[in-house]
Amino acid sequence: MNRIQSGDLNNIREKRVHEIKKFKAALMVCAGTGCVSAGSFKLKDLLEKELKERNLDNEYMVVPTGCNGFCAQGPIMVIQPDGIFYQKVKPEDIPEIINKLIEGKYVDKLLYKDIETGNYIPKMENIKFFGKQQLIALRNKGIINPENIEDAIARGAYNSLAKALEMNQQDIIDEVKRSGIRGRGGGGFPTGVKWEIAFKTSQEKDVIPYIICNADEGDPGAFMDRSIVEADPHTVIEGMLIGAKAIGASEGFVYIRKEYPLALERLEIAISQAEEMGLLGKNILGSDFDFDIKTHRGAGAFVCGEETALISSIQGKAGEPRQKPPVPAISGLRGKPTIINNVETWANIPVILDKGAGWFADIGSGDVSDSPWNGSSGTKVFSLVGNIEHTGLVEIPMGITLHEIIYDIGGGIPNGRKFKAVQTGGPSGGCLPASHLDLSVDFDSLTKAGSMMGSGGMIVMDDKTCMVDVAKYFISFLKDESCGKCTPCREGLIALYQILDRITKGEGKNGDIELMEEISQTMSLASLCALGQTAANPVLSTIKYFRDEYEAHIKDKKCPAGVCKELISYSVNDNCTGCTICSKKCPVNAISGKVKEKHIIDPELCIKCNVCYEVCKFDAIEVR
Amino acid sequence: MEKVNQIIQKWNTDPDFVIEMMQDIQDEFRCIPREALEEVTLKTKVPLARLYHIVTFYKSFSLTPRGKYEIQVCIGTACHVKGAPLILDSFTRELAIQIGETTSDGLFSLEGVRCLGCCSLAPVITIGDNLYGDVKVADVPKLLAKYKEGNNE
Amino acid sequence: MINIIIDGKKIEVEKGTTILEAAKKLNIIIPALCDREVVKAYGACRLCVVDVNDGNEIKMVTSCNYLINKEIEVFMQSERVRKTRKMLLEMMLSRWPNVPMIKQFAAEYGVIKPRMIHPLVDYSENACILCGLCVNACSEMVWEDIIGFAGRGENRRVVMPFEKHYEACIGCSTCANICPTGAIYMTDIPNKPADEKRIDKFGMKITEEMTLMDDEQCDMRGVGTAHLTQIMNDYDLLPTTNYRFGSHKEAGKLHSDVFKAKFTQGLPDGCWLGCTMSCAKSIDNYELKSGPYKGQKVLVDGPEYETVAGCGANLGIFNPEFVIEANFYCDTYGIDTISFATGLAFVMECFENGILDKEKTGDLELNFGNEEAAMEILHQMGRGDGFGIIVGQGIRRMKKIFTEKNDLTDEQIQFMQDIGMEAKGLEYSEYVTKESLAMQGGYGLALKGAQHDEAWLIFMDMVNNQIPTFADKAEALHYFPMFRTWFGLMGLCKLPWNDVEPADNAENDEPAKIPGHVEGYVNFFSAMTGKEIDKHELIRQSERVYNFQRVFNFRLGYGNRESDRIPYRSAGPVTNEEYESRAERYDKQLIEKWNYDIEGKTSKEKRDFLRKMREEDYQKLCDAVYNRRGWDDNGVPTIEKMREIGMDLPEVVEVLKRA
Repeated sequence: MNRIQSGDLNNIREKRVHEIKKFKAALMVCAGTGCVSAGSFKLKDLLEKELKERNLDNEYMVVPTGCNGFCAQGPIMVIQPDGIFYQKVKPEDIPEIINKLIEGKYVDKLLYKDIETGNYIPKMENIKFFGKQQLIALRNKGIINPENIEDAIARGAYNSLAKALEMNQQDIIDEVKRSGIRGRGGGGFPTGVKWEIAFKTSQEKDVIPYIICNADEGDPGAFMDRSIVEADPHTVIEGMLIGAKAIGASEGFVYIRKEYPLALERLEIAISQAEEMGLLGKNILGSDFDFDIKTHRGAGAFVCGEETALISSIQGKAGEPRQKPPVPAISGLRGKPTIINNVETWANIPVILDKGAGWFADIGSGDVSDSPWNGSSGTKVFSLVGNIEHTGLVEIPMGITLHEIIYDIGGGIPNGRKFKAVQTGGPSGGCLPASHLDLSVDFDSLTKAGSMMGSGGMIVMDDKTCMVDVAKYFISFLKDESCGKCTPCREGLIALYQILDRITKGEGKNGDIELMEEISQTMSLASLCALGQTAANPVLSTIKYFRDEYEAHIKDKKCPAGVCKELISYSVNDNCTGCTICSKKCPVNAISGKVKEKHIIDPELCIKCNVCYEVCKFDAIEVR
Repeated sequence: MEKVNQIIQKWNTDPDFVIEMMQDIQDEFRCIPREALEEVTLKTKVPLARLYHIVTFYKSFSLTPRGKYEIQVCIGTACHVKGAPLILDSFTRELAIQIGETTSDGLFSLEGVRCLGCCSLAPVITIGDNLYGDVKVADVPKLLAKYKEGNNE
Repeated sequence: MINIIIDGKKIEVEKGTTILEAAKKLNIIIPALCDREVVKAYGACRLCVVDVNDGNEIKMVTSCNYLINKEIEVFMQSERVRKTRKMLLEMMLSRWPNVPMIKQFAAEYGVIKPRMIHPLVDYSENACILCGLCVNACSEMVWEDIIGFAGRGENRRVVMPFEKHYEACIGCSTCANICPTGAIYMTDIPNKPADEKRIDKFGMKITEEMTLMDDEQCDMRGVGTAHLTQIMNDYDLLPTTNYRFGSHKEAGKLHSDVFKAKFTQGLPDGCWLGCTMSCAKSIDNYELKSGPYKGQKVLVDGPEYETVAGCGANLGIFNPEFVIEANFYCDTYGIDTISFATGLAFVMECFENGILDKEKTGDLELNFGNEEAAMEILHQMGRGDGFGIIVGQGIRRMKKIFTEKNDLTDEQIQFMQDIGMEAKGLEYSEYVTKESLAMQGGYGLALKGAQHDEAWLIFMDMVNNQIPTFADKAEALHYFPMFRTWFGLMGLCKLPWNDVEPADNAENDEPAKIPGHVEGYVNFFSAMTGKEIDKHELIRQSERVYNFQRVFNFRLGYGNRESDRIPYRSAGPVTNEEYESRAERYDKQLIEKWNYDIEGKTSKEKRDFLRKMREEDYQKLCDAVYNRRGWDDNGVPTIEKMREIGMDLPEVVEVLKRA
């Protein structure tokens, strides 16, 4: 491949668009991690084989795409240009898919079925889950082959870079500032302001700054960064290039989780393709701008999402945070000004330059024309997971309510259960109750309510979720992930865990709640880094909104949700038909009973493994 | 040791990339042997104490050999609320090992992992390179049997 | 300077001061577990939190690492601060209930019994409290990383790699000495000192000084003695082209930053394990350009100052690569870089003055600056062939050989005597001594020959003018050689004595002696041996050996005034060119010191007069020094002196009777 100039982008785009137009339709097979695990690569191969055998491979093309974000229904296939959406596609469905495609019809059983009306909905755009979304960061998901740079260019990739190369540095920064975009990784710091600090510092000190892309998506329950890199790695590269041009960096790093092998592979392919084309390296697009990107694999430490710990890890050290200030934008990697933005933030940058700061600022909530701090502009990707009908990634304008997301997009709570809480902001966030469903989803409202935006995980919990157990879960998670350097975080988490553990075992005492609040306050005031400072949020927010549940555990020694093992028991009710499946599956032979007779669980033997509940088809197992 | 040197060379003996070197060493030996770390120290000049801190700090590394099939049970939030703790209990019971341990036949090792980023499929586990979603307690014995069989063939 | 308020009290501090330092100035005590000036604030224990109002908001910060950069108000005792510290102490006490310093701080904050039960409770009084001092001391003070943290979260612990003894540990005991709880201790004390605690105390003092002061004073740990090149050039003391001049416009090419960029190891490289100064430096993967190992990549041990100045400036070669190559081959051939360099500088000056020519040098153009020819001579010396055989014999023999074989004029022979920089047959090391009479004595009166390790008095004498009279100089030439000899007796290195000084050294009456360190050595001796001595006894120990050595020299025909002679190049300008290059300085001295009327005098006339005066001065200096040392007019120790110091052994007295 030849190194290209700015003007060549158009030619490549037109050529590729022309190539695609020659086909009658494109069968886009989702090849994100979720769908791959459900067999989508095999599906893709079989599709190609079938088309070839039927001499149709000149009329229909098969494109492996990145993650669609609707992983629970995988493997997913979308037929473009009509946007026909098939889910849970199996190899044996292939001949019929092709037959119907030729006829201009659909395979009904693979279509999405609306939960309210029961009607099949053939087109993606008409599915509520997708219809309400506005795609900026995810604009190319499922549409391009992430391993083909020409596909990306055909969708406009690197146009904004070409534009940025014509602009002066301060103008780029001003554009980003005016858009009002705030960091999508957790803290919500205005991106343009961060860039400006790094730019000015490097000018004053006459040093070359660095660019880092944080792809160490740490918050459990959030996977938008993985999706973006898997689906559209070039947007991340382009965002970083624009940032580099803006602040004058010549070297950038992507710090990516080891748990995301597919994303890493795609990113490395994208980097090498961009290098070959002269979109990375020396004299980018024929200009005098040079920029290289290296990838670093994370090795499994949540704390490395913290900027200073991430820098430490990139330099080949244990990921221990250091005191801020100075912030990395002033003194970061190798002591040089360094801007760190997460994947989603970088993915927004090319669009901001393309469509303009004003366009972006108009989306979202609040008026950011004076200061990015006054609102939350743009969209945010959430991963809507947990006890919800439609799990998956949703990109929505900031400012819509939790209710809209959970019920209108997510389809509400399945299995006839009740909504109990939604957890946002990862381990540092909090749990919001039903009374907060009308809350506007933006940086400041969430923080005010005792949670936070974080990187966009949104875990919906039904009434079978114990909030004390959830708090214990987060504290246990953080206790395990705390680097252990500073006293309040290390010892505070140990203390909180001990207390929560006692409470969930029915050994809670009066004063436990107050002691936890005291510990939490010290942790938030005195901890060294953001991990420790926010580590107690899950405890504080659950105490705030679900205090009665704590009291039930402490005073009544009961777990109302039926989760805490020490406080519950399993029994068989009269629904039992004596089918014997539970007694066969019980790993400790605690269930006895004759065929067609009601069974009995021996509480002395029962280890509360839940397998009986899982396998029973008659709702005959009760957990209390 | 030749393998270790190849790995170190692959990363140009760059001290910034010791974590990557160690990941490759872990993949190669299923653990981090002391001799390998000493070689990394020798070549990169990164002190052994610092490498040891890294080994014990990051979850990817293990000082004792991990099983042929590494089982990772996702303990992310979405998986937690969808029953991951019960799945984890089930594995510890079936394999008679705790988190971080390896079965005596060297076949399986068990880890809890923070979020595999497949929250839509919760609860999720991986065995080796394969990812399984929507796992039930009752699935665990079947899955393990499949791998045991696969190993015997 | 910035004005800040701490608990209502105003104080002015320098920008960049920490709150903890500022509080100390007000005698306010902030509890902190890891506060030691000598290691960087680590910010782990968090006990030192305070509230700060920076104008925008009141926030809690750790006072150990919060740098004051603007006017702030600090609240040490706010309710919030007290509550936070109290909870931190409650957490710590629940884990380490018996560690005295934690108990004490906790009691001060009213915590007696913690409410939490800690799963990892450690009842030891000497429990490790994870403050990080030892780890940071090992890294920052000793430049080793033997101990480190391992694990994370509740599993965090301080260990050696793989949690067992690590052979690379040199047992320097710095970690044990800095540990506030006694969690680290030595199980085996090498050398079995009589008083281990006393050794530790003064050992730590040196280590701490080195850590705190070296960076700004000398950077011995960063560049070793190579830092001297720039200083010597600045003071006109860097020998260039055989000691003719003391500075050169190209000297910057040999400055320490050039070599620092080439030093590759970045490790503490001392002569012995555990040296906190660790001034040895080396260059890895240097590709040789000449000689038997041409093309090979080698490790070069050095270069140090003497090699840089000798093989560089003094040969008129301002190429660091040549210095490195010469360094390597001198080491490889077993040749001293100083003798090689000074000897070759003499040869080059002879060559340029017609005493030698290409016929005699084996066709080598031995001009100053000729790198190729210079390197060839070194290889010839190594191989033992060509002109190298003659150069390899040293200046004293070369002078004899050239006199005998080269058919020279008397003037040329005298010239050779003046510029051949050796005394007692040993080549001069690399300092220009022309303007320091005391330093001329330092070289000329040294027992082993022209080496600076007995007395290095240039700065005291010339730069600082601390020893103006003959008596002062004689006192210095008594004290310092004796003091420095003591290091030889003990097998100690001299560099830590005076290259890095205590912070308050300048406030002493006799800063040149580094009294703080002399006290340290007295303590080392006493603590090691169990025998109490004072600083006078220390000198007395040396005097016995020093005088005995002089008697020994005398017995072999050297220990007398004649053998203390020095070449005139080391005392003043030999040529007009030299005189004229520093004419202002010499003229001024002629007028002010000797009332010499320079009006209408030629350079040669002025030079001759100066020479007469300076040579007389040198002899007067010898008189004064012999007298101070208790020697006779000819520089031979008297029998009375030997008796006084208890060295009147019969054999010694027998030798001295011949004097």
